Order: sequence, then C-alpha cells, then structure tokens
Amino acid sequence: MTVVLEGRDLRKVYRMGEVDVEALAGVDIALHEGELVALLGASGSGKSTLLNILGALDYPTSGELSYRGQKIEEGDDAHLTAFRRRHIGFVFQFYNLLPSLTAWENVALATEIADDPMDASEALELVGLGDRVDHFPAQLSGGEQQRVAIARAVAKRPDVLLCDEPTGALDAATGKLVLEVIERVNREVGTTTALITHNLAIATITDRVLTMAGGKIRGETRNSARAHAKDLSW
Amino acid sequence: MSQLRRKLARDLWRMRGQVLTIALVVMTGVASWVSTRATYDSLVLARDAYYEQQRFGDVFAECRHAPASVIDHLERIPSVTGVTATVIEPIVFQTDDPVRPTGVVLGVEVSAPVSVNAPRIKSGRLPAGGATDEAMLLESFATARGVRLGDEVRFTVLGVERRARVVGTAVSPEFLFALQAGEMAADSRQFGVLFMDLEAVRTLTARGGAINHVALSIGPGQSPKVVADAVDALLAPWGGVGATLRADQPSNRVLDQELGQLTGMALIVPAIFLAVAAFLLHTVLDRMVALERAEIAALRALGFSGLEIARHYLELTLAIAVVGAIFGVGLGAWLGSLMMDLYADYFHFPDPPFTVPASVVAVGVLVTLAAASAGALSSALRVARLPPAEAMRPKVPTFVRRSALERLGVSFGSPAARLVVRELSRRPGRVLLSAVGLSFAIAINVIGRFNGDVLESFMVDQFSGAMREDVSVTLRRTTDAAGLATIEAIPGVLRAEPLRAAPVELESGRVKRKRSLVGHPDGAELRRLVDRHGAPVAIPEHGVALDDTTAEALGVGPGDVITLRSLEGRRLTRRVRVAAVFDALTALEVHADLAEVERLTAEPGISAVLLSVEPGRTAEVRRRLYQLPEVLGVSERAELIARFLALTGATMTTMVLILTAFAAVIAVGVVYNDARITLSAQARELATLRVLGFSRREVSRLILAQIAVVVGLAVVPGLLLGRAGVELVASSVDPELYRFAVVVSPATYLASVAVVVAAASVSALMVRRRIAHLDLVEVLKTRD
Repeated sequence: MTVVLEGRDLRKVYRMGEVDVEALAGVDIALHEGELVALLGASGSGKSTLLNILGALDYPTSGELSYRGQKIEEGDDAHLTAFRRRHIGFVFQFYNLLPSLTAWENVALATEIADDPMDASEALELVGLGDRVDHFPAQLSGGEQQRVAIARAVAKRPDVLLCDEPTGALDAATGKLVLEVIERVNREVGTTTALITHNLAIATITDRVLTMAGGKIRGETRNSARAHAKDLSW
Repeated sequence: MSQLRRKLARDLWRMRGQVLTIALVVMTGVASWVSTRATYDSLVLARDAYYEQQRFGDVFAECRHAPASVIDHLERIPSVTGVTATVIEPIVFQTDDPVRPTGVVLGVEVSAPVSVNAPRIKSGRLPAGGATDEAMLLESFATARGVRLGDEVRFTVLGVERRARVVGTAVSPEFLFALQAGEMAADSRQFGVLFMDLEAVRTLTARGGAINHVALSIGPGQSPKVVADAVDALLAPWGGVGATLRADQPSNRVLDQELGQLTGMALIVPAIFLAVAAFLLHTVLDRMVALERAEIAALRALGFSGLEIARHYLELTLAIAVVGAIFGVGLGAWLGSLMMDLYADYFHFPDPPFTVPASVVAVGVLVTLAAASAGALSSALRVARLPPAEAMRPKVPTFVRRSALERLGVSFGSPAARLVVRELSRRPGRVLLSAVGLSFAIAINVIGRFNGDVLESFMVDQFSGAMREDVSVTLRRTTDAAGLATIEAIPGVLRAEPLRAAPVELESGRVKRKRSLVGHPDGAELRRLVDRHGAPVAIPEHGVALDDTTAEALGVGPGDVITLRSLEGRRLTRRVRVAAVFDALTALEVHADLAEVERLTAEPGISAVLLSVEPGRTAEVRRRLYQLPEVLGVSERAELIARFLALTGATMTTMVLILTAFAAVIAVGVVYNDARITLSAQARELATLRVLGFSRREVSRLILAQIAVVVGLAVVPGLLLGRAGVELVASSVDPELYRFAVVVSPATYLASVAVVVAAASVSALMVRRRIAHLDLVEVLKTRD
C-alpha cells in the first residue's frame, strides 16, 4: 500500500524553563493510504507531539517528515500552512469551533480555502447533522459540536485526518456516535486517519495500533478484523 | 512583599505594552492639565503682582489738549486714589525697513514717583529732566531690534525728525501686549515706546503745560464706570474722546482673552484623556479578570476574600494611573515652563515666575486616580462577587444570534466576513467606546489644524477681497483734499483713494459702544467692505452699515435709528439710520459713505490714503511719503502679509505638532489595547483557523478588519465632533474683538483622519507580529 505520510527518526525536545524534556525520542512511522491507525498511550507518552508534527503544526527538533515520498521542508511557515491547507484535517478534543459562526459557516470556512472541497451541506450530512446547519456551537451538544468539527476537517477532502482524543470530552454514548462518523469517513471517503486515544476499546476499530511510551513507539499490533464503533462499550 | 504584590509587579511587566500605552494616555492628560492650569495660575499671579507694583490704572482717557489744571479736578472725583496725566504722541521710527515701525513717545514725570501706570526700569536709568535727547525704550522693542544702551534712535514726531540716546529700557503694564493700530498681530519689532521726561515731550510737541492722556486708579470696590463718566465730563471741553475702563484697555483685553482660553483648555483636553484612560483600563482589566478566572478561584479557595482579590486588581489599575500621573506632572511642569516662556514673550511680563501649585498637582493626581478607579470598578466588583466554584468553571460561550445587520437582511458573503461582523457585534460597548475614543483623536486633530484654514480664508478675504491697495498711508491728522492731491502727485502712484476714520460712540437704549466710523469714497476700488465669507458689501449712500455683533449688542436691525456721538472735534450727537447689517469679521468699525461721515462729524477731511503703485516703484513712493509732514505711517500690503504669516506660522506649527501628538497618543492607546484584547479573546479561534490552513496573512486580516471597522466608525463622528469643537473654540473668542468665519478645509479633515489612521496602523502592526507568533499547539491544547 502506498505510504501517504512518513516520519523518520523524529525527535522533539521541549525546553521547559531550565530543563529539556524529550517528548519524542526517535520515532519512525508510516501512514498508509486509506488505513485507520490508533496511537495508544498514557498521557505524556508523546502521542500528541507526534500527531502535531505529522500535521505540520509543530516542527521536529530532528528527523525527517515526508508526504508521498516528498520531504517536507521545515521552518518555512508559508510552506507548512499550504501543506496543512491541502492535505491535513485536524480534529481536537475540545472541538475548537468558532462560536460566532453557525455549523454550516464553520464548515464553509474550511471549504473556502480548499482546492476541491465537498459542499459544506454535504459534509454536514455525512456526519448526520443535515438538520442542524443553522445552529451556533452554543446551541449544539458536545457530540454534535465534535461532529461539526469532523465535518469541517473532512470537507476539504484532506489526504490525512488527524484526530487527537476526539471523544475525550464526551460520554460513552456520544463518543460512539463520533467514532462512527470517523469510521464512516475513513470507509466511504477513504481518508487516511490517525486517531489518538488512551482507550483500548476504541483502538479495536482501527486497522493498526501503535503503542507509545516515553516518546517512542514501543509496539505495533494489527487488528485482523476491525470492530464496529456501534458495538463498542466502555 | 506579599505574594499578591509580587503577582502585581509581574503582571505589570508582562503587560508592559498595554501598561505603557495606557500610562501614556494618562500622562498626556495630566501633563495638559498641569501645564495649562499652572501656566494660567502663574500668569494671573504675575499679572496681578505686576499691575499692583506698577499701579496699573482702572480708567484711561485721551483728549486733544487739556491744561494741567484739569488734574486737580480729576483728583477730586470721588473714589479716585491716583492720577497720572501726561502727553502721548504717535511717532514713526526712522529705520531702513520697508515698513517703518511706529509707536508712541510718552512723557514720564522723572522728578517724582509716578502714581499710576509707572514704567518699570529694566536696565539703565530714567532720562534726565528736560532732556529732549534722552529716552528709555520699551524693552520688547529694544530686544527685538537689538538696540543697546547708548545707541541712538531716530524718530519723527509731528512731522519733525528727532534723535534720542537710549539711556534705559523699561516695561509698562499699558504695553504688555504691543499691538499697533492697523496691525492684525502683535509684533515686538513693529511697535515701540519712548519714555522721555514729561517736560521734554511737551517741548517736542509744543504743548506748553498741557496734557493729552490721563490714567486714574480708584479705591477698591468703587465703580470705574461712574469715574469714567466724571472723567468724560471733565475732558469733554478739551477734546476728550471718551474714557476706557481697564477691561477694555487694549493690552489688558487681549490678556484676559488669552487667559480665558487657557482655563477652557485646562479643562477640556485633560477630561478627554482621562475619559479615554478610564475606558482603556476598564477593557484591559475586564479581559484580565476573564483570563484569570481560574486563578481567582484558586485564591478564593485558599481563603482570600473577594475584597482582597478585588483590591489586587484595583491596585494594578491604580499603579498604571500613578505611573502616568507622575510622569504627567513632570512633563506638565516642563511644558508649562515652555508655555510660560512663550506667553511671557508675547505679553512682555517682566521675569514671570513659573510655579506649579501643589493644589494643581493634587487635583490632577486625585482626578486621575478617581478616573482609573471608575474604569476598574465594574471588573473589581465582579471579582469580589464571583462565587469561587463558578470561577473554577470556564465561561460558557453564549453566542446564538446573527448580528443585528444580518437579522435585518444584510448578507456578508464569506464566513470570514461574517466572523468579523459577528465578533464586533459581540462586543458593541467596546467597539462603540473605542470608536468614541478615536473620534476624539480625530476631533483634536481638526481643532489643531483648523486655525490654518481660518487664517487662509482670512488672508484671501482680507487681502484679495477687502484690502486691494499696494500701500496704505496713515495720516497724522485730518487732511483736506489738497493733502490727497499731494500724495496722488507722487510719481509712481497710479491711483489714490481717501479713507476717513473717526472715533464715535453708538447708543441705542441704554447700550453704548465705541467704534471707529469709517468713511468710504464713491466708487472705491482699493478698499472694499467684505463680510465674513469674503462677499462684498455695498456702502449705503445714507446711514451706516453695522456689523452683526454690534447690531446685536445695540439690539437694532436695518431701518432702526441709533444715536451716533462723534468723540473728536466738535463732538456732535446725531441720529442716524442703520442702513444695513452684515456679518463682519471684526466688530471694530462702522461703515458709511465718506460724505455721510463728513456730515455726521461736521468736519471734512480724510485720515488715510490708499495707493495703487506702479510695479517696482514702491520703494521710491515710500521714500517720498515719509518726507510729507502729515504722514504718520506707511504700510505695504505684501510686507503686511509676509509679516503676519511669519508671526502666526510658528505658533500654529507648534500647536499642530502638539495636538497631532495628542491625537496619536489616544489612537495608539485605543487601537493597541483593543487589538491586544481582541487577539487574546480570539486567540483560540485564530489558532483554529491556522490549523485549518489559513495563512498568517489571512488570519491577521481578520483582526485588522475588526480594527479597520472600529477606525472607520470613528471617522464621521470624529469629523463632526471636530467641527463642533471648532465652533466652540470660535465662540470662545470675544466676538467684539474678532469674529471669524468657521472654515475647515477638506485637507484639514483628511489630515486629521490620516494621522489617526497612521497611528492606528502602527499599533495594529505591533499586534500583527503577535499573530505570527501565536503558539498553535499551546492555544489548542487547553480549553478556554
């Protein structure tokens, strides 16, 4: 399978006051076309740092990142912005919707700057919110807000969808709904997706599970058959 | 140091950009208060002390020729405490200037102390008794002309050239403000006073024992008006032209006018700045409290009381205000001393002391602290009342509506445009007050610059509309037709037109006004009557044309009949019809046909001649004119314009610079803080946009658009406010001194807006750098 996004020997050192903290200690990772990957690990294991670097939100201290075999030059903000714009969709734990824009407008914001976007309404249909397009975030539940965030991320048809604990702020029932949407996007649109979680149950819906600890990938397991989000319980 | 104090110090350092811009606004407000108020207080003290030391008169009167015996009678007027009777004669200094300076020679009793209007010797000594070749010179004139003790001055008095050695310099309360008749601005170079022994002046003017000028002082609490009437009665047989009260004495009147404007300035400008500062402190604190909800909750949980925490935030505000006030007092004292120097030059006060009264500083600091507290009050109260458990939770976003404009059906195409409109509509109060602050900045600029427009329109109206002559010649006394013919015959003179000016008193009901009655010849071309807007006004064949200010004062209109009393010569009283009322620039003159003036005064003759001169022959004509005994002064239009512009230009440039700086301080304070707060409040949204793939430029544009809307909202109200301010300034000028047409040019409006836009752009760019350095990961990791 084609490698879409690949990191080699990624290292990230944060300077926290007087001490250096090594968040990533040499990570090799490859995301293949169309797969759904889970990054599993305790908090502080380096999952978010890795995801941010993969999504060009942050630079590695050393190591190399490439997209479809092309090395991504770091340090040039305009270049990284363009890369994010074209190829990456992000979903965060706290949704990060713009409170002054409606659901539809939040999605349209993203489609406006994309080359070949979906229709904003279509994206909202995809996440099951076709009837709530005119609601402001304050008028939506947490799960609905997260689904709007997913619609916004996928509406620009990214090559890679990066989700950082997308169900972390939600109860189990709502969380399942959100996972179903991610699952559906991955299956129907074929978007390569990486999903951070510290929940073992959630990891079962993916193709591959990468376990992280101490800034390194300590283990990799392949799920012979993906579980369905609607069948999960935790 | 308590830990909260330590937090305070660190917060101030962390917020230094905002602290600095707000402290600058406070500083400017306090500085403008301290400088103007302290200058005012110092000037009043200096004036009072000076008037008292030199025994400045309460009533002044001139007459043609009165015997010394009249002094006894004047002294016997009830409540009169002192009389100085002397001789004053107009002179022309013989210099090489194209327009020779004029002035007066004034007789001083050298053998006994002068009881009223004593000149103060600044250097050298009094002239010797009887010496017709020794004089003290007015200090301002001596300084401006570089005349030193021992130098000789040449002057003509009554057409005869004389010489005198300068043995001293002096100042006098009568000539604090040296304004020469027929001039539009005070110029120390152009007006001089020669103080000579009274006997010597009598010799020079062949007056024997007579006098022509008296000044009287009266006891405290007595009515100067009653004394003035008595003086008029006594001097009437000797050609008295009516007594003047101190309030109308020319030098004092200008001084009062200037002092009145200072008190107004001392209130308005600081009030604007402190209001803006209070608003800025309010918004900054409001945001800070919103950001520190969790910290406040933690402090409450530790056991700090709501009031203790509220005090902490109040102290932060007061610290900014105190820093601004301290620097403001310092800057104000310094600016005040500069202003005092300018005023001292202008009025020729002898060594005016500049002091900043403790009361001025105290009022300035207290009002500043009050304004700062008022700004901080609502946030501090909210902190005090915040239940600790609620403070632990983040504020819930409550945005559920489209903006008012959108609800009205206006659509803003892209989501980004909607974002801008809705973010603005979420904080209408802050947007409105920011726009108000900026409109004050624009208004201050308009007020600072409009003087130039008024001056320009004045120049155009006066010099192209009204004064069309090349040269104007003032005659020493009323001359007949033969005198005019002599001047007309001078080679190079193309055209000569007579003009007649006679002092008169107008009366209607119980109101009296002294004016100069100006007679214009038929078919006059060189001097036309124009109104405030430069439109020509026809001279009535019969009756007089009054300016609107005088007409209002007398309560009369066209067709009414008033009483006109000639104040010289035969002093006839006549009834005359008001033929026309027009909106004039000044309220000093009443206009009529030359023949009508001769009829009203029953005296033929002219007092000035206006000349049109062949190009290039002006110097020659001038030389010939000065040889004529009846010529008192010669002024050239071109020279007059140049000198007027030079005099007013420097002051105006300073004024424009100061007010531009003031406006910029407000604009930077408002825009920088508004942008910082907007950025802080919307950091999460902006970071989200960056993650979505919006570039720095696109994200910056969203913030800049919000700033642009606020600035845009300020433009029209700012211009209107400026216009209103200009009207206010215009109305504060005594209309009987000067009444100008309020003119504000498009260029002034444009420049005023440009200054604010420029200051706003600089502040916005400072904030733009922060957008570039937005830490995306950090902002998104935490819940707002």
